[in-house]
Amino acid sequence: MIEASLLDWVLAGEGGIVIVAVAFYLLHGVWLQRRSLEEQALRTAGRASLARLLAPNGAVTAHDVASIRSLPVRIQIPLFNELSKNVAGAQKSTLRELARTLGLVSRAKRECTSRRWPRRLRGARFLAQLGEPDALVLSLLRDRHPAVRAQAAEWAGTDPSPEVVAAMLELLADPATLSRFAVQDALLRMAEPMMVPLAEYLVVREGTAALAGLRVAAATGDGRFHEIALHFSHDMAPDGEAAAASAELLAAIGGAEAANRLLAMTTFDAERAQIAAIRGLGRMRHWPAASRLAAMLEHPRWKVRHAAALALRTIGAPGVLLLRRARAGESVSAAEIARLVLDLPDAVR
Amino acid sequence: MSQSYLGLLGQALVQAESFVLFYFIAVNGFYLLLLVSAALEMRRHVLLIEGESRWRLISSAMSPTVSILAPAYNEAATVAESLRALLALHYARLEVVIVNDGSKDATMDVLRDSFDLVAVHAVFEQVIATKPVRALYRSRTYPGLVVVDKENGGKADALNTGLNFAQGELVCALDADTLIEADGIQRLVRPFLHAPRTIASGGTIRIVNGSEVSQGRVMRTHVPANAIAGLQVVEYLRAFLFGRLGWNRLGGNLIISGAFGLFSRDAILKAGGYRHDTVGEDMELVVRLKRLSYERGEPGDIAFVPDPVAWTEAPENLRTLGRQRDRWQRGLADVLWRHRAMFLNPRYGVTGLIVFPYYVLVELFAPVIEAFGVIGLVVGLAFGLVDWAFAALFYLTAYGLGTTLTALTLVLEDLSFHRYSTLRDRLLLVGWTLLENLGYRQLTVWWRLRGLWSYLRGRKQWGAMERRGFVAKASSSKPLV
Repeated sequence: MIEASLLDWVLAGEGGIVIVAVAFYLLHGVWLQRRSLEEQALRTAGRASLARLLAPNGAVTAHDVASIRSLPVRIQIPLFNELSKNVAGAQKSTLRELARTLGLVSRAKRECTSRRWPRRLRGARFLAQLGEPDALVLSLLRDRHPAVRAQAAEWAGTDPSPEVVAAMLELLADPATLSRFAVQDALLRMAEPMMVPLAEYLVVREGTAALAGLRVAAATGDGRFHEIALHFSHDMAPDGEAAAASAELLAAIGGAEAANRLLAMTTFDAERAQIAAIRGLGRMRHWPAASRLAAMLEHPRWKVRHAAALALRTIGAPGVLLLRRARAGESVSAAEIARLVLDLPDAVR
Repeated sequence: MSQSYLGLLGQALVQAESFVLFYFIAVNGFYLLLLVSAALEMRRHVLLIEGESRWRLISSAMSPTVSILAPAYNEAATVAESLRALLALHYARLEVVIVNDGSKDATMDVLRDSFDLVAVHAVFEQVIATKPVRALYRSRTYPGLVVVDKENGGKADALNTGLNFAQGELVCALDADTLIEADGIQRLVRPFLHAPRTIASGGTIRIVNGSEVSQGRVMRTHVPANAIAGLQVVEYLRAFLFGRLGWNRLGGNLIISGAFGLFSRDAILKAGGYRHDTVGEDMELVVRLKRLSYERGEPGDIAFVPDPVAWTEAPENLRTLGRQRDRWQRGLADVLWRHRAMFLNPRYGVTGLIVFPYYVLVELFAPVIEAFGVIGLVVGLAFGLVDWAFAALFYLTAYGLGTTLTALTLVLEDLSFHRYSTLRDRLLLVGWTLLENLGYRQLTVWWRLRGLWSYLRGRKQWGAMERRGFVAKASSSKPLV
């Protein structure tokens, strides 16, 4: 049997908890709203001061610097982050100088050496967005946490020294896809400083690392990767990923040798590589390949037929002519795919 | 004689109530564990995304390509606006495949007129068998838009058709009535970049009722004043913010909402696409993907990300809501039965030993045990076999624990995304939280029991779904695909 008094106690206890919880929740809401309004006002004032400081003919006034300094750091940092993304050149230099003056740069650098990953991440984010070069980036590229490594890769793009590029290339084999993606993207945006190191890197690599590098190279389409593209185009791995990436690269580089190699690759068994080679020939608008591509409209695999038809269309007049012939021809599979591709509106490539 | 029968009944009732009490404590203990796990996961997630800049993801040539699959059935009134919102999502490498599933209204005409469509010869590689495709259209103005007109075959069939046409590395399955926030896809893609073994990711679904919607976007978030919709807001917050988020750390999710989920296209195609013969096709696909990943030794991580948000319209009357819950329970029962080989099977790792048993013992059987407990208490009280004070204490404890869990979810929401900011919204949220266990919960138990019973009797229909529509004053009634 349960005492009735126990029930009263439980009832009173639960009632009390509910009242306290509701009061806390509502008061917390009021506090959050007030804080949000205050922060909004401070941000507006801070934005106005920063805008004056960064105006093309604006002079740095002590008053504006003081007004930004008077803002809490939790407001200063998002303000600088927000503005960093939208300015470049002299304005960005002024912003960096101001961040140094306010001690935000040294604070972020301290955070980059913290034992806690969220702080390292925050520090790296601030410095990356500000484009502040520092040797710290090298250690962060080898950080334990993939998000920090990814952020460091973004940061490294702002100061691509040979050591930094070498460290970034090592990350192309990173098992964490996030940092691999960030490195590929940063290398691509870096362009010139990474071309030769990437080419040298690809000479001695294979597997995942080579594939990640090849994809970057393919997106650049730079002629310095020509030999590498030819080398990997002989990669007969069953999934054909490396050969496919090399086909994209060859198509981007162009030239007779690349076209001949792509033509040879259209006979590959690995579907991915074969399709990439077909697309490559289309991308190069290599009209001498049109008859070969037209023959592939009867290929037993749908994806190959589809790629060949699209490539013919991309080639232009000779390709379209062959597509029309195929549409009227006896082969049903070729006629169907030719009709589909000829029907596509111009906007769809 | 009757005295001895009563004595036996009393003993049986005490045993049964003890079992219910033990079950109740175990389940709530597990809920608390989920809540702690969710809080830790939320903290990690907030730290990870604080100050994050996603412009690289949006603009990079290295980002994965995404195809959105949007089935449409009799959506003439809203399809143009919904599709424009999809085409305006902030993700560069995006393709939208809209599948008209044999609509009987003017859906196809609206699409043709609004998006400058041109019919192209409808040949394609039928990787997954579907109902016949009547026509294929491409747009002269939106290169990333593919419109497929097919014979009616249901949602799963429409999604499979979309899969046959999609070109993206990742596919996002949507319900026709879902509104995705502009940056929803960017956010949902992140798990695929964070972990190479990810094959599916899901985002949070929130209730749009009461909020302001314009041009297919939620402009201002509010908690609905309608009790039925309001109670579902609280329920959805709890389900997504602590239910699914908590599982991220405790063995992975077994549900990705069919209204908003991103999948590896290769993984779905290898698994054979969506099943037609179940009402829980979204859950069935996820469980199958998970099962196959163990059996084939392939990647199979399923992640829940709390910040990508999609909005859905909740039923505002008990009849429609009851039908929905009935269907969900039938779907759950069907999926768990189909994949029963996973139950407590070490071959399926954490999924087989923890996640799957949780869904069976808690999600599937909870209404049975809860109903059993309530009936036992009533019978016990009627025959004077159970102390009324015990019954009251039991109920108060249940109410207190249930309300505390929901309240803690509100705190989690407050400390993370803080979507409901006005005093009115907060008062409403508190009100719905306090009221949820006073009748609404018991009603959901009844609907779920009904669902189980229907499943046992072999019912497989979806049931009609009445919707008010997102546009103010608009009132339409349309069945889900």
